[in-house]
Amino acid sequence: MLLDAFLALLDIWVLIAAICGIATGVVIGAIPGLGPTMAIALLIPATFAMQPIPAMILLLGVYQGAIFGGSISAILLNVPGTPSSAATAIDGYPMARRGQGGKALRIALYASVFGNVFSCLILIALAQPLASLALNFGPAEMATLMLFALSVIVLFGGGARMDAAIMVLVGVCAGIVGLDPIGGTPRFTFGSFEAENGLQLIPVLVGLFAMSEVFLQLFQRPNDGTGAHEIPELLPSKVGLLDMWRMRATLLVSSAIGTFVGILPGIGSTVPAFMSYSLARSRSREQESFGNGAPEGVAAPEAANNAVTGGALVPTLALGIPGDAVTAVILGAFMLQGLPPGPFLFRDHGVEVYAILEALLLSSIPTVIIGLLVFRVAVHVIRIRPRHLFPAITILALLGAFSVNNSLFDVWVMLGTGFVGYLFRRSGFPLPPLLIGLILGKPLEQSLRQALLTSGGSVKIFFVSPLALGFLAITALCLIGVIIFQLRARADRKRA
Amino acid sequence: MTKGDGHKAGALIGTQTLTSSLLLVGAIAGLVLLKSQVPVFGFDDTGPTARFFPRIVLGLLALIVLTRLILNRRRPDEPLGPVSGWIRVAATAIAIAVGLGLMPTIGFFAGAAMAGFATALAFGERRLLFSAGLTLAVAASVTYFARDWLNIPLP
Repeated sequence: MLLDAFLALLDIWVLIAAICGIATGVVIGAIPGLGPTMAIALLIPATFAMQPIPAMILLLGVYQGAIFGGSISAILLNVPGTPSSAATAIDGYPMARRGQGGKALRIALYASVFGNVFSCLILIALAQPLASLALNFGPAEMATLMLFALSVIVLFGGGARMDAAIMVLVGVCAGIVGLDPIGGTPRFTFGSFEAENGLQLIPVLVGLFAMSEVFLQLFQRPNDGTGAHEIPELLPSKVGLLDMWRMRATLLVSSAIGTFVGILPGIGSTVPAFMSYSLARSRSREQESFGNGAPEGVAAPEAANNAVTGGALVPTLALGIPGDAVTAVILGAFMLQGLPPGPFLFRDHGVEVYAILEALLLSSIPTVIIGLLVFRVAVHVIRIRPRHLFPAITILALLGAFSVNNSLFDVWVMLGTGFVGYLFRRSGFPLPPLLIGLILGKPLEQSLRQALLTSGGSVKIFFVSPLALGFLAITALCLIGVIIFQLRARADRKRA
Repeated sequence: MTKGDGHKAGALIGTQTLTSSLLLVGAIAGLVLLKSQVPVFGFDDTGPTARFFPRIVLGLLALIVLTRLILNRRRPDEPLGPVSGWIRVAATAIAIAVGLGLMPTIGFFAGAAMAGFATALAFGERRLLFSAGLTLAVAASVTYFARDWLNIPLP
């Protein structure tokens, strides 16, 4: 199957898609405020006329490129293009101020590629066996697995746990709108025929991540300060294989952290980037150089946040459980291309999926070439003024929402969720748990009710299956662990 | 802080309280409307009905939001921010909604251009070349690309 998948990649459109995706991603990722989530959500309509393999390669290329692109503005301007690049700025910006911006960007690029290759190998090794295992899951196992995934998002997603729990529940509530998955009766449609299809993922995504950003920027109305940034001079520099070899331990450890944290749903790439940075600093013999322009301080977070790509795709593709907001968008794109993620994906569309995974691995080569070529252009893109950028994003958001079902109802949904997303962001509520709640809400209800229907309404079914019991036990252990940890921390604070 | 601030930084009532209160009202309204909005037929009564899951989720949401409101009642909140900011956002949202409402009549191109133009004006772009010219160019290229390349039947 791996060979068939490789043969499927021997198509000029695949190469064009990869190059366009990576270049677009690098440029968009460099613009602060436009992360990979928004970029992919807005580009989805462009893939409608494409075959599944090039379409997904284009979007995954955008993802890869945008994560590296985020480090460009972080290193050169101390303005992270994506939240995860904030860790890169700690040492990248001091390097740039010393005239080593080019060197820092090259280190970031090579570390990104290393992290990506590492996580792709883990993805290829883990996703299919996990999907095969999940093929044996019944409704009880699926329901408890999704409950576990939602608990992980709430408990370990970072930020206030109560806010994350509220957002998960809001997402699950949004998933209730439409036809009941078992009985087929309309729920909360208020007599609207169009609402019976429910709130579609892509319009909600575009609203939450693109339209809400427009409103947020409008509220703040930046005084176009982006154009006033002074870009430090990029002195000629080279980063050789030997330089990267010296950082091999940091790269490996950071990639492993990124991959395995990425597998856990809802945590995203910011947490592993900072974890890797802290670990690299604590392991270093020159700890005092960290924060003042240490090359390892750039390599560690970049390897980690790129390794999240492959890690987050493991549960997304194998179980249909997205690892973070970006993989939730990618999950939506897979569904639109007729490749529904979940246990049946590898069985029913093995060649297409492996081709996409192999392309993700091989795209490291164009990423290096394009990254080196494009970063000088991307530096200037940062200067685009919001007053010129956001009207275009508004128009693209209108098209993106309409194009999914050719329905104006979806555009209204996009506008509504945009305003709601703006309110949530202004209030400091995290959006990724909402999105994952929306995606998992319906299958969770379906599995839960199917399990209860087969058991005649008895909850014993969740305690009879060892797997379901295992998931429940892990969920309970995580919850108890967090409570104990919090109580101890509170006691320590009181003592201090 | 600018003139017209709704609340000062660290005010007790701010966006978090506002959003949480709206969520609480929404969750309670959902519970109240459950019977009228989720019909249940006889063949469903062998197991959990269509109201089973929404009732749990809405109930949990109401409970957690209420707990949050009570626990955070004395903590400083995110300030509401300048009134001018809220007016800008509301005016743009209304302008986009008008463009969207008119779209079936005036078409995607004109509706999208109107939305883009309103956004540009709200961002403070006063030069006609950029506020109207740029949005018209973007709307035209997006319409052309969607209609002729992607075969999307735009309104």
